[in-house]
Amino acid sequence: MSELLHIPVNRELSERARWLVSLRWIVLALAAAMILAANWWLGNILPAKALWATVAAMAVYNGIFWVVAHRLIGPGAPYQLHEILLHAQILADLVALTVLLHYSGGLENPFSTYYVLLVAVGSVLMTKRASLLYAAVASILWVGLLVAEATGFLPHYNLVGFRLPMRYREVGHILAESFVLVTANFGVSFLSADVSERLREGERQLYEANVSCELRSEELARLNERLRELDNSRSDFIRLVTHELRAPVAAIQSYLRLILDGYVPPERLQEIVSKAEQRARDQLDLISDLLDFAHLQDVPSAQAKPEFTDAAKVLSDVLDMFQARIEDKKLNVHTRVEEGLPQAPLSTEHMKQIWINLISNAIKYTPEGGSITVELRREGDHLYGAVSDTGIGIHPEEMERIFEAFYRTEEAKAIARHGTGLGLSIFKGIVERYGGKVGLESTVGKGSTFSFTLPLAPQGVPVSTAPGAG
Amino acid sequence: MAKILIVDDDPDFVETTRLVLESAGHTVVSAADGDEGLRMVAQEKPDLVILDIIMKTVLDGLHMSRQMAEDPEKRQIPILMVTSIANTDYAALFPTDEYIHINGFISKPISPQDLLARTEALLDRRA
Repeated sequence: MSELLHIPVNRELSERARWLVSLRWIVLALAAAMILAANWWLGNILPAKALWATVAAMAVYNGIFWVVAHRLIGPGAPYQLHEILLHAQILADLVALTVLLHYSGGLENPFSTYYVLLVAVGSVLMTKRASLLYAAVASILWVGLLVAEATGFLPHYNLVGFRLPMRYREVGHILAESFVLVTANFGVSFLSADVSERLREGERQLYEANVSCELRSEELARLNERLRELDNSRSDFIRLVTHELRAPVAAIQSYLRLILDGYVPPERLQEIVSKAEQRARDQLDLISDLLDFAHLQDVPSAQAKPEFTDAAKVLSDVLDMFQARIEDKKLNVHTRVEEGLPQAPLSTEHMKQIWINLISNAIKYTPEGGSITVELRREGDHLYGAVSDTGIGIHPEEMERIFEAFYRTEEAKAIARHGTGLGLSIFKGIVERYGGKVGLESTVGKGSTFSFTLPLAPQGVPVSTAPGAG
Repeated sequence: MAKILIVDDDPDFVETTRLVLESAGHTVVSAADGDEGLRMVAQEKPDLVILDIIMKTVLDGLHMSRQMAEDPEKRQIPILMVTSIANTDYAALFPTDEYIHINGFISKPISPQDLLARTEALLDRRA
């Protein structure tokens, strides 16, 4: 936020610096006019050369300030540079005023009140601390000049015919002049710095409010976009579910209708009925997968106790379950399970679903005689599990989509016609529910490795992923 | 009788439809997706195409019907579009302001009598 705030503040400081430079040209013209007028009125009693030299010096430094403010320090320059430029201008003016006053009567010159003007300008432009500095510098210069002239350290130029001579040496007068100007300087510096600081604070708050409004509206636009994506993936999901749920029932109904209406020749009856039965079994699989999937979308309650399970034990149970199918396909199964693993931070049911989904896929898509390797080990504060096969593999462009609900690759469909396309989205959903990550490496024709990492330290259970995105 | 191409990725739908159509004496060929369907249209030159809307990709069937419409020869073949989406909620899914090159629309599950009546009607119109 402060980074953003500096930009307009810098722009304002840079404008102020340029404004002071412009103003000074006018002041110089007025000073020149005053010198001419005073000399004409009082009759060339002032040291004209010294005065003109001072005015010329002011013109020179104003020219330098002009170049610096317009060419060197742009609005994009660091804040400190802008501050230094303003300090330099006010301090140079205070010194120049003191020199001008010295050559034009010192204490006798009523223009000494212009110190107050300079302090006021500085206080309005800069911070409170800076304005007190200006008041102090102005007071020291003025009192110093008075004392230096009174003690003869500096010559005194009497305004003959305007003020009584010798007054510059009267202690009471010097004290009164000093007191008035010092108090006026500090009073003005305090009041104007205080008022302008409050105004600036108001401005700053307004600007901050503006910035945060802008940020908020950007945030809202982003959220809106995200909601639209979620809504799209939700309708995709509903469309697919509708299709997937209706299709098997429609097929079963069609088979039964054909049998009832006598379109099926008696010799094909057995075949057609078993096709219908297979479809009914598919539908049951799909429904139980959909229930698992829907269950994953539930937001877990905050009070739910963290659950733990023995991932290695669950793995060996699941492998036992698949033993018959593994033997049917003459698959070599290797398990590399680290000894003495800590408990996995998830429910036994979810751990079981992870192993079932990964291992049944590996069995399904690995040709006879192939091998499956299951790994389970600790990696730092994570539990790492992986199932590798020597199966059909997955094309790189399909790796992202493979975790989408209902997505099945053409190769997968060719090998196993029956499959819901939900297994991997359930796998991913479970792993992410426990704050873990899924991984996939695959080479077409060589095999695939599906892996997961789960944080061992139980942590906040995030809201599950959106349908379709899983 | 006629040669009919069924394009559907559901083998059971292909099977049931085949049983019905063959019982009426038609020759049946099949394809599992839009691309294969287009190849079969060129190769087999069917008299009628029975086409599922949702196959490999949502609206794969619609895409295939458009491709056929762009070919002067293929556009002569009537298309009977089939879908398991019968809900009006999904009507918005389908393009309404453009011409869909189909000759009839039928929803799953299809009764055998209905299927035969619709195919005969389309084949007669062609004849």
